Amino acid sequence: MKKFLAILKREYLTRVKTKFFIIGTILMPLLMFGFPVVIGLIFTLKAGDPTRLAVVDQSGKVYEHFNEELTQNDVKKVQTDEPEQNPMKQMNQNQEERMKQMARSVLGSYVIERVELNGRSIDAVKSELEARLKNKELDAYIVIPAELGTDTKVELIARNVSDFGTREQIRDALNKVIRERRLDDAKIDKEKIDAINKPVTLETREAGGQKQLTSAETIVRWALPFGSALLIYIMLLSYGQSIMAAVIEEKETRIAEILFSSVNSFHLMLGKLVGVSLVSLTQLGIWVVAALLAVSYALAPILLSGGIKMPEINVSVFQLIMLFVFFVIGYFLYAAIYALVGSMVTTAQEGGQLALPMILFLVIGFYLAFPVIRSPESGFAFWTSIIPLWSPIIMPVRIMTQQPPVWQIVLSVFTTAGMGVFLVWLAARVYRVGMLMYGKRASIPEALKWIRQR
Amino acid sequence: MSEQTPTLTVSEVTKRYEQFTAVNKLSFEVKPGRIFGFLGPNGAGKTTTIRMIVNITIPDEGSIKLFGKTITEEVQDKIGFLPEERGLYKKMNIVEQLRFFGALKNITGKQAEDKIDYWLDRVKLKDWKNKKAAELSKGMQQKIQFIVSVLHNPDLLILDEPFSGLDPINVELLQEIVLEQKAKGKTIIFSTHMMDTAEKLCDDICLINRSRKVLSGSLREVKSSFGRNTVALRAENIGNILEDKELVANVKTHSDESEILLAKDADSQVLLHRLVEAKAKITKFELVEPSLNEIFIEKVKESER
Repeated sequence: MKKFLAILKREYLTRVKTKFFIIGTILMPLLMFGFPVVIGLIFTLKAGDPTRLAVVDQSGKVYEHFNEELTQNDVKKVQTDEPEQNPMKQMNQNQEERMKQMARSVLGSYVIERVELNGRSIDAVKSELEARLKNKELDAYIVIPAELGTDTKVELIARNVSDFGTREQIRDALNKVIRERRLDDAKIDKEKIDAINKPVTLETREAGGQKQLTSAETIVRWALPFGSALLIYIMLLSYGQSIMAAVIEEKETRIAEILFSSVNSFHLMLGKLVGVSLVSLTQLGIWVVAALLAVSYALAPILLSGGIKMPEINVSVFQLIMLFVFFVIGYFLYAAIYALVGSMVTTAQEGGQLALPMILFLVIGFYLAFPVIRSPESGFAFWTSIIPLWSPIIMPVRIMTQQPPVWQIVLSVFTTAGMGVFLVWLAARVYRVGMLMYGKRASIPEALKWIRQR
Repeated sequence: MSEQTPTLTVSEVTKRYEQFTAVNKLSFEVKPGRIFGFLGPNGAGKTTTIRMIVNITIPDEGSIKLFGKTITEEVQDKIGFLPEERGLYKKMNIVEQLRFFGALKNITGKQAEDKIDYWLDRVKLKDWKNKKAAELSKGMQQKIQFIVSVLHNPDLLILDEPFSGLDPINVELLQEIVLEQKAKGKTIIFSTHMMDTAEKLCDDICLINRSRKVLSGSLREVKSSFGRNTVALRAENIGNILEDKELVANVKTHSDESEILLAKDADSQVLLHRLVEAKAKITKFELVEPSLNEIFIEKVKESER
């Protein structure tokens, strides 16, 4: 036990004390939060002067509103077509759409002038505007037709057609104004339309419960176990290599023999794994605490003044504890896979390729969660929440949706943690027998043979 | 533990790797308080045997007893081991490194600090205490590794090629420490294929080749059993006398002196007579014990016949 702790301590301290760890801990959140902010700032950058836009309004009904729409600083109104924020939809939004949305939300500044026909033909006006574009007296012009029928075509002629931000804003403004105009023309009350289109509110209540489930709450119940699994996944991607490197370290530095002559190989492997895992958990812990402090610091005054109400979320302490337990043993289990892979290879690079297929089990687990949410009491849900590799995802999902009997939870903890310990034991064997004897990378059949060898 | 209990007993130990037998029915004993030379050419099975002794691998057949007991973690703590393949954590500084290895042998706290200071001073690396291992020269690192093996004051010290790659001054220093340990009543097993150092240090030897024992016993016995059939000769104008196969089995020429191994049943007096007859100018003619080196070569060749 003392030796196990000595190994754990060494693995932990040598890593936590490095500059790399300290800088990484500080830099990572800055990057994560700083990056979107920087991107946002870049979008708001309007290099150069306001866009000079000429409007030829043949209908004579659009200009006033359009001008208002574009120059008043209320772009938000344009952008929120969806009254309710749909989390699924937001997740699925692709990059292009997101960029468009961002571009929309940023108000470009415009100088708009009205061009009257004054009896001239439309072509004459166009060619005159064309000439002004050429002389760079103007950046763009639009031509609105006289009739605002169902297939109204508005022409936009611009010097720079790839400025989609401007294009989207003009389109949004036009849509809004012309749509209202059409409603007016058809003598339809806009308020009425809005009222008709209002989405249905679906009240959700848990059986036996009194309280209504807010939509925030359903999201939380669904998002917590997923978030925890996602966190395991992200942590494996970012720390997996270092777990493997820790296992390989003594091979490369030729320290293995001294270690094995002093300490049981299982203790050695377990000490390494726990030590390195604690490093990543420490980093995560620092971030979580910092984030909580920042959030409470920012929100405290608002909450105290009663400005906004925190959505009430009905998650029991037991559920949160189980979530944490499964996060930790789940991480341990997958970290053990990395350790096992590390015990078979000679360099971390080789190991990365070998470990990836194993991590796919975790990804499959994400998808298995959907049928389980639909029928949390089925045999399928039972087995997937017991079988290690999936259990760290599925069991929390079940606990959050419809709590299974305690014995099932306990069983799942045992199978998951047990599998982790078994993998560590396996890793210790493969490492000791294989590397010391042959000093080469193990093929799977060889590794199997070594496990049986004394 | 009585004086009689051998520090180490290896009996009928066999270790196989797939088709290859690394160690074959090997038996020997190491007596307490002696320096035991475990000798053999490269690939003879020395390292495999040592790995079994320190419990890195387990024999397929036979048994190994340390201090009269089968190995446990407690027994492991009484052994100091310097493996042939050795390294240090490159980015860790020396003192932390030594603390870690000390903890693995169950010595911690003040006791460990005192030992670390004593040994760093002893091998003249006091000023390097807080340096990283990567900053040390290879020889310095080797001395640190040596400290790792003696830090916990073990009763049995197993050194696998401890002096390879060291300069003569450091070899001298480490040999001094090894003899010091012996004087304190410690047992030392020391594996090498450098026969002159073995000859200087060992009380007992065991020679193995091709996974089998070839020879064992005290250095004294081994040497005397070979008899005085070697002549150290320094002479000029000796003609072709030494090419007579009936008389001379082997000649090894050092700078100005030849070491002549006589043929079986040949008489050294006959050789002297012939040399005198040939009017050779003899400045030295001495009957000597064969060097361990010769015994080694002779025995290894014999076992391969």
